[in-house]
Amino acid sequence: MIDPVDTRLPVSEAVALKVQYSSRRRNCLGRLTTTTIRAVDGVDLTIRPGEAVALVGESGCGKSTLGRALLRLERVSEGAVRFAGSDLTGLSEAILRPIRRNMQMVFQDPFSSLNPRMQIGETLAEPLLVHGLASKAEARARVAEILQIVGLDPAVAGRHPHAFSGGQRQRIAIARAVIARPKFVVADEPISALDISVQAQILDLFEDLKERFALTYLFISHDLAVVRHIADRVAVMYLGRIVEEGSPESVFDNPLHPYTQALLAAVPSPDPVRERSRPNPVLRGEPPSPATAVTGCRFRGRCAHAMPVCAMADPALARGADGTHAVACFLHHQ
Amino acid sequence: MTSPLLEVKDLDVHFGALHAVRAVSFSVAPGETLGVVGESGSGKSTTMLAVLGLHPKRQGTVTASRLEFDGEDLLSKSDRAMRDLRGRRVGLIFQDPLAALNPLMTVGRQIGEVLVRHHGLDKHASRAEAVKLLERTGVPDPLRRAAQFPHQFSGGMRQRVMIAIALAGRPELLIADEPTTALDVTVQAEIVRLIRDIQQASGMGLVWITHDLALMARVADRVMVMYAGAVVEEAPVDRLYATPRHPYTAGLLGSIARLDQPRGVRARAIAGTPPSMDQPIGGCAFAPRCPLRFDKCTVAPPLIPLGDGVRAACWRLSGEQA
Repeated sequence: MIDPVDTRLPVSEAVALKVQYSSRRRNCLGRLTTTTIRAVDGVDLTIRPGEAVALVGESGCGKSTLGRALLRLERVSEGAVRFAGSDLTGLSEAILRPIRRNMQMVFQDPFSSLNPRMQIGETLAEPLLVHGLASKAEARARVAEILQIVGLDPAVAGRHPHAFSGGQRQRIAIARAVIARPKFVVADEPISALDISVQAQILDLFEDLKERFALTYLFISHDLAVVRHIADRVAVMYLGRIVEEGSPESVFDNPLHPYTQALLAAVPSPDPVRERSRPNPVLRGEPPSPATAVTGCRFRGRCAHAMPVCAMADPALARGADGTHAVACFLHHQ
Repeated sequence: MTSPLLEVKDLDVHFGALHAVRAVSFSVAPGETLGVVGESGSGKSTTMLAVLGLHPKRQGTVTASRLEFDGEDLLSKSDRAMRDLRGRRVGLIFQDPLAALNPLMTVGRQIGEVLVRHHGLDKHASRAEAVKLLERTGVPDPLRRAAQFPHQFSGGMRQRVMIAIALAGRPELLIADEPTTALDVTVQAEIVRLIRDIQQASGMGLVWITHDLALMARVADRVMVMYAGAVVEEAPVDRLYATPRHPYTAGLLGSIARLDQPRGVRARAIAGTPPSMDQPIGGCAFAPRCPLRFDKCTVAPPLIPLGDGVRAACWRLSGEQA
């Protein structure tokens, strides 16, 4: 998986990763049945130092579960998760705790991710104090510093979350994620709950912090237009599997997988003239449930190009001649 | 232009001290789509709920110098008459179909109920009509699906059910409040197409509320931009996107990431945040965030007609009044 010229250790890595949930419930005949949800179903992903990798796909495709599994916030069913070369797969929470300060998460909803009873200064100082990285006085200075970096007045440290707007709360959540100087940040739909006029501000902040703290990001997003502008690399997920991966230029300007093509074709553009000449949507139906077992290619039921081979074998994610753009589709396999 | 289906003049909505909608005027013609765009708290949904008489009387005060549907005054109508209007002549679709559907009633019965109540169909006929409506909204296997409950439907399929219910009364006006916001983009594209196809076939007027400017470009004929409870700009869709006149509209269009632009072209954020609506707003509500503000902006600007159906509320434009 590792680029031959890039010998640096990846920051985060998933190797043949599977995350499954099973639920037991009684069916209509009263018999106990077990359903297995394959949220992540065999993913290889390597995130290198300083990269911003975007994970895109529709709801239920497993992108959030994959992000959480990379931080070991999910139990790994099969395969492995590594962080900076060390295997996190089977580690207990106690052993993971000191590693956690290097891997942080920013959530979608800044209204539920901050403790409403704590002053934001306390919320921000917590990671420093929990991990023993600073004394109380040092923590206070670090809080003032990080508030300034994320564009807030240090004087607001004594206020509670309710005193802030959505965009300001997301700045605070981001400040908490980066205050202990982590190496790796997973941001799960970090702007989709914010007002449109504020979204670009938060993206600018992520960009600024990436430079300032040499951060490595995984952005999870359903918004392809945003991804195009912030990602160094894009991975497209469908039903638990990465089906296409490459630079934003290659994936967006020359999508190879029929799913990526359909997804891009469905994104509206803020241009009424272009919208009027847009062809009708090509993708029909909805993705199958991750609880159903699939044979062959998991997209073939909705694919306009399905061939006999697609029912028989599961296409692997294979790299093309350029060594970076990869696609899991028999149309492009030699 | 045909006479408007819905005409609203100087609509104000107060919730106690909170002035949620401020002197909003607009009209919708049959067959036309009016897009209403704005951020959360801009008053776009509150405006439409007030028009439909859906604000509980004790909580909100609704006033207007004119509020007419097909020439009939809505402010003087009884609750019962308004209910009848909503079931028969005006349809409504919301963002969250799960919250709007009764979880304990089969989908077929919920659609049938509208037909029984507002169209005098008997139970048997309403049942058959419900299946037809599901089929028309693109629900596969409608006979079997009509007997199922809302939780057995995916988000996209639930929204189709909501559309079927809204269409049961063959409405002359459909108000769609962020109908695709909770849906994936591929499903959104199908729902947009469905609503537009139905509109083309029936000639109904459509009000489409969204915060998504890219989606708005796809659906609207005319767009009304709201900020802090008031209309700041209204224009035919091509004009609005080609030459936005209000600094807020221009800022919004500049701040969204576009798929059709190369990576180097960065979106420019609008500084600051929308004002809190529980404080009185003196002057232009956008002035604190506006790069073009000057001393006149301490007084609230009127909507200035700029010709070709364009209106914008900005003192910078007062010299070029049409």
